[in-house]
Amino acid sequence: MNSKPLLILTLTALCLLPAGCAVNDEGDSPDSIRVGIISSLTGAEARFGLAQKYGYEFAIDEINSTGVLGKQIELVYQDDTSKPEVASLTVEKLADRNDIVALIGAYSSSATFPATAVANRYKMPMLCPSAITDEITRQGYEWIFRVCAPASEYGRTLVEFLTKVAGARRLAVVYENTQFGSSVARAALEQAPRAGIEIAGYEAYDQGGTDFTPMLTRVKAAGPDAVLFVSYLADATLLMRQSKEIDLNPKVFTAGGAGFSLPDFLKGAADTAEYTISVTQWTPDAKWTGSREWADRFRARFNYEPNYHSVQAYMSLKILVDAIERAGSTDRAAIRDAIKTSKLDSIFGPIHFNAVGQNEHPVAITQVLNGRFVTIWPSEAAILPPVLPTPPWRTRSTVTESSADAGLEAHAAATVSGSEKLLQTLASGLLTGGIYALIGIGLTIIFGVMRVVNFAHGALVMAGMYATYFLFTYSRIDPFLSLAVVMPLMFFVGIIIQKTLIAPVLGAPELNQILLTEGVSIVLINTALLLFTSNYLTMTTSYAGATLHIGGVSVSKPQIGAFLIAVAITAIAYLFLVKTGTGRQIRAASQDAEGARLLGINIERVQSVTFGLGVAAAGAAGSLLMPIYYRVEPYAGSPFTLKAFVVVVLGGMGSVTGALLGGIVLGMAESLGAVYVATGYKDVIGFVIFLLVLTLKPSGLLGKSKV
Amino acid sequence: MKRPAFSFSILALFLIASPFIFQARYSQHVLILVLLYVTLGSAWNILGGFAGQLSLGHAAFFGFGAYTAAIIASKTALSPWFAIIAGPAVVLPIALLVGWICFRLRGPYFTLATIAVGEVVRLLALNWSQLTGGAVGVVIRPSVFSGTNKLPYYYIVLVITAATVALCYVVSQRKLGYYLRAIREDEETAESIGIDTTRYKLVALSISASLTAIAGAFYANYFLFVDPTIVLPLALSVEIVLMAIIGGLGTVAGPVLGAVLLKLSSEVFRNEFAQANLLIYGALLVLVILFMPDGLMGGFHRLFRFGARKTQRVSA
Repeated sequence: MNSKPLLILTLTALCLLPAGCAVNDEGDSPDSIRVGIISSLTGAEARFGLAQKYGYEFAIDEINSTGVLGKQIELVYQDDTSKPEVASLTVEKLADRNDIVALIGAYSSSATFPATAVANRYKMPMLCPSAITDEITRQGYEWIFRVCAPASEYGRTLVEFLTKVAGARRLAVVYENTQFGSSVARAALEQAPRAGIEIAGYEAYDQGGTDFTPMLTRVKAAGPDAVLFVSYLADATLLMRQSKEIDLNPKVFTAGGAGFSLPDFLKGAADTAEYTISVTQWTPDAKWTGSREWADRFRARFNYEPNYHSVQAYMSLKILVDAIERAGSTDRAAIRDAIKTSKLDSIFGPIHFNAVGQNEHPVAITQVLNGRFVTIWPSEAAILPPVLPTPPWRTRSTVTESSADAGLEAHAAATVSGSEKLLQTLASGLLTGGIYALIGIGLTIIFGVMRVVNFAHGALVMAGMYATYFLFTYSRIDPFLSLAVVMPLMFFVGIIIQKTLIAPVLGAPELNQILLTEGVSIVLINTALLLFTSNYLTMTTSYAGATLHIGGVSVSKPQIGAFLIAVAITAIAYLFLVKTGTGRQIRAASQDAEGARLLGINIERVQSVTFGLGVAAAGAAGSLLMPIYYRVEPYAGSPFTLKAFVVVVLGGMGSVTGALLGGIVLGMAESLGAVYVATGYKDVIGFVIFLLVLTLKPSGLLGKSKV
Repeated sequence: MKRPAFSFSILALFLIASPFIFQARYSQHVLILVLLYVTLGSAWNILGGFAGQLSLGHAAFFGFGAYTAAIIASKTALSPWFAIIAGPAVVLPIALLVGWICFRLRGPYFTLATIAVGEVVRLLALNWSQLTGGAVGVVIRPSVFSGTNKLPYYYIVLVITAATVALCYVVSQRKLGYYLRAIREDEETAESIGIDTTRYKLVALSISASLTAIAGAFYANYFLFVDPTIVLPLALSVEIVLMAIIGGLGTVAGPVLGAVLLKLSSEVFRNEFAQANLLIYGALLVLVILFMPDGLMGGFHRLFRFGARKTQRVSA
């Protein structure tokens, strides 16, 4: 009887044949030299991959107008999908092709670091344009060269600036817990004490945070006179806006490049970007000959503001081509030896690799002045002197309406009393909880009635955010008013999804539903990626950053608005479910679908309405998030999917009042955890509470029924 | 009786000869990854497919195996290959604890709890940097083998995979397999006819988690780099489950088929469709679930009418 599995195994193995052969698509090409380019064309880092791609394209046009060794350069792009293991895989693939002479890539530190190990093992010359983790050049690799400055250089330059120019004494470091973030933070934390700067505290947060106020409260309470942020764009924007909201006023805000030195930061953080100081690898106004003209030509060609990622990519290819030319050969070892002796004067400064393969590129420091990045350090490259100390938020002209007492007491108020800290923490937790509740309400209706584990919920929140963004940007409809458009729209989207995709799998095992909705989520996110690119779309409402100061506690007005609307929607949903006929049918169906059917309830209709309502609530959450979150990108909703499940389980499946309670409990727990335990562990606390409730009281905090 | 022996020998010969048929190292690398995922899908299947306990936290067990290797490499003078033995030893008590917590729950609650466990493990690995290297990760020096010659890695993973699939087959034929299927079909009834459901679920989890940890330990030795985004993401748990579902839940050959197709197709998509690759992947996922709810094995059974047995699948 058991021939079947074996036969199928054999069939399976035979499937490998064509695929195995297909991967060797190399062919000798007599008239071109092929260079492998690894970058993030899709996934979370796609926007930086795009910046790099423009740089490569710009370089290739120049290079191919003359040719190299009588040949053209051909770029072979490999998408690492923003995943480290894929980056390594593409190195394996390219290293094995005899026609590829060298590699450039990848984008992020976490993708590049393991990829360099592979390239080095295969004796493949590889230039790293943008990965800054120091580890890359500490491994004794012979074949790896880094064009950009490493994290330790960020740390050294910043500490020097802080001691010599800013006169800082107490430094707080806030960094995303990634390869990049921890590399820069570690460099600063090591070097600051040696220069006589005390470490007031350091906070590592999970990238893609949704609310930093608890963490910033902790920073404020530590009383630093200098803050260092190491973050990507989405977080950079939110960190600055929320620093203003909770009135964090160090003498100087500094940052470790990345999010803080990209043109999009100026748009996203708007007025809160002003005066921030950041390390940067390059700016268009850099002192290097030709960089300004280069930037002009680049803008004209792509209609895109060049950032240092573009220059690094551009220069990496130029360095490689120079090496090939000098080597007079496309032999990998010859190219490597030629790279070692590179000597170029370029728009990225002098290029020269030291013994460990590091281009000794000095970094500069910029400050945002009048909405532009201006080089302020080192002094010989400075365009303008730095503005120090940073004016306190309340004295800045943009917020004059909020308070007349533009006093200088703000810097002095660095110390925060214990009770203020607690109140601030609780207020942040409560307001964040409101948003969690709203996202949870949508999910609890779907989960409670249809028992569908909807993994697309976060992606639907993202869809609501895009809808709100476009309504605001093109029709000037306020996000709070756009609820009237977004909710009906999302209701119909929900019905369509339910009728075409969910209905057929309702009888299937729940895992099929999870995977189906996960598939829907992937499709939604990647459709957004294709339609709107991975760039952040940012919007600034007139009340952005408006805060209420009650005692020592600062709360954001849009967050209060969102919280009140979340409570109102909960109340409406509750009344709808209890008082209306359709609501009763939905509740009946949630308790006993077959019984309800026997009573003549049209279950299919109830399910459509239910799913539509759940999706409408997700859309509403998206609308309310926009004034708080300021920006949307394809992955913006993703962190909320799991949080929504936690909320639903805490509150009890199908209970809208429970979702409100669950949202607030989760918001509070995270906030308290971030302030009194550690920012990095706040999500652990959320999940542990979730597991405890699941095992001890599976019907939820408010539930009565047995699961 | 002749046919199985014949096809088995063909298959075995093919698998042993593969690296000589596909000499490009990249092809060999893809073969190694495919076999690794066959192991992961099959290991998951013992718990998820046979016993119907749909875990979405298996990345945690994989991560424990990989981190065992990483910690051996960075904190001791031993070869990280010892993690192939030490990994399961570390994972077993953890699996029992996870089982103790999660097996009280049914259906989606069990699945959600396993997601939470997986995320907690990921966050701990990320934040406990003294032990794990945190976000920076751990670079492992090649041990025993050079890291560039794929052959030893291929045969090691082939042995692991063959042993895993064979174990699945044995489980499916033995008392344990029948008990697990009884639990999957109706836990109350299984309990009432005297099956100690908790005990057998724990046995299934232990086997599944140990095999997954072995795969993780192998991966660390092969990939030579470990960090939380690589060995502990929720996406890995989802991918493992996907292979079992697409292949066919609860069948021995299903995860094998699923892993081969999924791994190869994602490579092809990435190469052919550039920026749209994930979109196409997602759309195909939706289509497979909609039109082949019991996976390719179910499709095969219907298509070729193999045998008289009805397709095995979980009833809702």
